[in-house]
Amino acid sequence: MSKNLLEIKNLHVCTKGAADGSGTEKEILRGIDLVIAPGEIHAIMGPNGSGKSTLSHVLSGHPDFTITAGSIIYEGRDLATMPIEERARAGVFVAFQYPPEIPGVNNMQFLRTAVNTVRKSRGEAELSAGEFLNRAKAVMARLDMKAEMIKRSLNEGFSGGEKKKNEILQMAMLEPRLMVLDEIDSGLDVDALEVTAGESVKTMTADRAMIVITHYSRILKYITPTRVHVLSAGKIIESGGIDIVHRIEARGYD
Amino acid sequence: MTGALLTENIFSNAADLPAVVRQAIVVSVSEKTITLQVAPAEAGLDLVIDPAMLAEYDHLVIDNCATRARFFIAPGKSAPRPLQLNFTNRPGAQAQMFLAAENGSITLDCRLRAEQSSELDCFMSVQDASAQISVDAEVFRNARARFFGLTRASAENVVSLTMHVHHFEGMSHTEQKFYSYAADKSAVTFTGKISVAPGAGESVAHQLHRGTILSREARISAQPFLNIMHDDVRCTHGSTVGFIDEDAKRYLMARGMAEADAEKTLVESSQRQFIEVLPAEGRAFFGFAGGDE
Repeated sequence: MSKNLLEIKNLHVCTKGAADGSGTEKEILRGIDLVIAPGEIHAIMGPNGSGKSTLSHVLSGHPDFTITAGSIIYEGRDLATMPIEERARAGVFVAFQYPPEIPGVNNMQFLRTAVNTVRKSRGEAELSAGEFLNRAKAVMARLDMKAEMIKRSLNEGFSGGEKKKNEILQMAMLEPRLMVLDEIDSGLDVDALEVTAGESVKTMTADRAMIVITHYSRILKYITPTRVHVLSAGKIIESGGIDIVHRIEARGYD
Repeated sequence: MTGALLTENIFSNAADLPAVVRQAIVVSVSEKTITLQVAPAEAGLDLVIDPAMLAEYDHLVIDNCATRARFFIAPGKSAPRPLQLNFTNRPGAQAQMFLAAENGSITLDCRLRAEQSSELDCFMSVQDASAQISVDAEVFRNARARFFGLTRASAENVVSLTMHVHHFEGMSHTEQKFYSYAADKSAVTFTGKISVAPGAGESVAHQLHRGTILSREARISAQPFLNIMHDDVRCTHGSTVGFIDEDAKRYLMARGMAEADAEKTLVESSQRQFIEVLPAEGRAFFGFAGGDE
């Protein structure tokens, strides 16, 4: 088995309409290659419409997109054929850019169920209510989240920033191996960005990896990427180190 | 039968009724009709009508003057038989009514009357049953009536729920909130009418129906009607019919929840909107386990 955690090869993705011939959408991802080893943080940057969010949707298993060519191998398994919940249980976490509001589903109960489902599939013991709450409270304190947020309905009435923090809380509690942060910085003020990024970095270990998808470079002040990729029109047109970020910051994507 | 004997027979909870409650109720029966007259009383009255008795009669008449009365009625539970329910809340009276239609086939025709300054809360639950329920409510000056319904149809159930709320006099308030779920090959029809009579100024009437279709073969249709004959009123109605929110489902699954569990969670969470307005006794009567977290 490969030492890499994630291997994306020649990935081509269409919207569902384009794939079955009923729509007129064009191909969105047009041959992505990306290899990520444990311990690495990869930043994927690009202008609007370059396909960044499509990549995160495809990793999460969004049904509106169809892989027309190429492969996604995670821990040696074909991720593309795994059902959404299997991906989560196998340790893939995609933070949603727009987490939905779900009235009537208690935030804490949901998260505890999710954590224990994932732990069970990893062969770990379930967390007791007390242990879960202690851990959650510690993460929430670091994220500067109000304690009452855990008692509310899932994302219901949360501000944009609170929703993003709740995503990071879920991520920290679920302890995934592959973390995908899709525009986690949008809608966050500087303080919120700092604590959110800080908690994300804290969740990283030598055994895990992270993909940070972002339009702006500011989040990369707090999360230092191992490698930076520039996505344009569905292809990675450049890969390299942090100097790419500095150049984009100074001159934009042109 | 004497009055005392009737009380024993008509209420499932007769043994628990304190003397003060028994004294407030007069029960009479004719060939086809059970009549309950509830005197003005401030004590809490919880009256559970024995379903076996309802199976013997066509007509239940309740005339309520009490201010803390609750009536629990499960027509068709012990044997299918159409029931007509006439309920009158006398001026200043306050009552809650719980109607359960569960399993089998139920026909219920309700004629409700909320007289001046009275308050009526009516909760209805239809579960795994074919039911034809019509509710005709007449509301008078300064009265308040609220109607909450949860329909959970499955298999090949056919449920028809028709609400007609008449505001006969002004300053009356009504609210309707109905939630329908249709699984398997079931079909649910909700018809909601609000009529405001000429001269019934400052009436407030709200109606909401939310339908969720749980399978490709199930059907829900909803028809709201407003018939407003006076200018100075506030009336709203809203109705949606749709499938489970796919984005919400995908979100729950993306955190490890199986598809079936995610669907169940979303259905239960939206049904909680009904459960949350129920008093504890209503939850027990309708079979909702547990209370709040």
